[in-house]
Order: sequence, then structure tokens, then C-alpha cells
Amino acid sequence: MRNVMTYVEPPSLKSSDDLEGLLRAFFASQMPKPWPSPRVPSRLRLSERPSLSPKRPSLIRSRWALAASVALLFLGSLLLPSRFTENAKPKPFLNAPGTADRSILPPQSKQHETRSDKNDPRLPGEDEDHLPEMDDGVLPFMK
Amino acid sequence: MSAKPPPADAKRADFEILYERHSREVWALAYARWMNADTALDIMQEAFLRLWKQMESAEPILNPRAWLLRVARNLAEDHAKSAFRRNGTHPPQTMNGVQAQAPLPVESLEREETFAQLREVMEQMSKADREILTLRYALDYETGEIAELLSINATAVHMRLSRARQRLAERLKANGVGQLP
Repeated sequence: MRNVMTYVEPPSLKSSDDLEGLLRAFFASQMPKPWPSPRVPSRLRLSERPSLSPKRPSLIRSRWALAASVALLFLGSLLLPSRFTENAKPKPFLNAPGTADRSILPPQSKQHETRSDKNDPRLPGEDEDHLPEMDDGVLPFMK
Repeated sequence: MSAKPPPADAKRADFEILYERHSREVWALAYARWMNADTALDIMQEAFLRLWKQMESAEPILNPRAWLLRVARNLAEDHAKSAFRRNGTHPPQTMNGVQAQAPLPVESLEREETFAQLREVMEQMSKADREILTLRYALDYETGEIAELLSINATAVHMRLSRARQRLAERLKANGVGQLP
């Protein structure tokens, strides 16, 4: 009697329950543990922060232009009166309503007479007739 | 008259609720596509990052779940293209070297070997089979939930699941994969 090696099949999945158990265990081993938190940026988002710069570059330029204009106007208002006082003495508004009566004013040289006041910065021959016309009470740069 | 955008805290809370509800199924679909846990995690995180950006833009999403799953599927396909560019036709797993680690108990080694064989067999199956098996056994979804997610009816779910299990069992048997140790 010869010995016959009996071929034994390797163990296999006998039922669907075995397969289901295998699959459940497999997927459980694959899923991350612990379950990770969402990978999003920090709580403070760019949309929550105040905007540091205007969105349109043209807005920046126009604002700078306005600021420069206002600054120039302000400087001009400071500098211009001083230039007027250097160049000419302030003249009373003759014949204007509310002005002083000429008769009580100290005698003045006639308009066409040459001024002898050495402090008068005007050139010889320059008189009030050559001064620019001015509105009553209105300085030129305020027109 | 347009509604005011919700405050940041409310948006964050809504986002966290959506993450809690749908992150696992997004992961599962990505895993079914690639059979790689790390890749699935990256795809899932990227999908939710895009959701966050979408919510930040204050554009309404009518169905966040459908939006997420669509984005995840697209990301998974994009990953396929980029992986092909990087690795050629070899799947990413074969590119990893052997990691040095402490020797594991015999049972753990056998378990890991069984799982490796199972993964290898599942990679050979169709994407649809992997998807339905993952939804059923990774997430424990019932028939109705799977039907809703895959936009098929319950009968189709039963049929697909049964056939997928049968094909898997046959392949495992052919590969000599037995029961769990």
C-alpha cells in the first residue's frame, strides 16, 4: 500500500460573512485614526481684515492730486498777501462807500505828481493809475 | 435686495458641520479610486479647502455634498494624470521603498500580508466595483444611502454589490487569500 499524499486545499473564504469581515477590517485599517481636522487657513481671513489700500490705483492718484491741490492753495494763501505788502502799500478805496472823507485826510500829492517818499517801493512815475483794478474789498487772488 | 453675507463665525461653523458630515465619504470615494489612504486624504483635504474658498467668496452652493463629491472625483482624476507624469505606468505604491521598522508580531505580519493581497486584488477590479464595496464596508452605508450617492435605485445597488462581492471572492481564491489569521 503506497502512501498517497493528500492534497489539502488552502483555507478559503467559506462564506460571505468571512469576506465582509475581511473587507470591514481592511477598510478600518486604512482609514486615518484619529480622523484629521480640516486643513484650512487660520480663522482670520483676508476678507475679514480692513483693506489697507484702495483697490483701484486711479483712486490713489486722484486723492494725491486733490491733496496736492489743497496744499498748494493753502501755501498760496499764506505767501501771496506778504508779496502784496512788499510791492505796494495798501491803498484806501477812494470814493468807496464807507471810506474816510478825503477832506480830513492829510494833504496828499496829486496822482500825477512824482512821489518823493523814499520808502515807496514803486518806481518813479508809477502811480495808482497803473495799479491793477481791484474790486472793492476783493484781493486779486480771491477772484 | 441682496442678503447680507453671514459673519465669519457662522461660516466657520457651517464649514465644520459639512466637514463632519461628508469628509469620510469624500475620503472613501477617493480611496476607491486610488486604493491609497494618503492620496485619498490629500484629495479629501483639497476638496474641503476648495469648499472653504468657495464659501469665502460668498457664492452660494445649493448642494454642498454633490459639489464636494464632484470636486473630489475631478481631483482624483487630476491626480491620475499627475501621477502618470511622475511615475509612468507604475502605481505609486510600488515606488515606495521598504521602510525600516521594528519587527511586528507574527499575527500582525500575516494580517498586513492579507491586507496587501486584498488591496492588490481590488486594484485589479473595476472602479465601480471598488466604489460600491468601499461605500458599503468602509462607511457601513445602507442600500438607500448608496443609491442616493450613486444616483441609482436600490435594486441596482443590491445587484452591483452582489456581483462585486462575487468577483472579489473569486479573485481572492485565485490568489490564495484565505481568512483573517
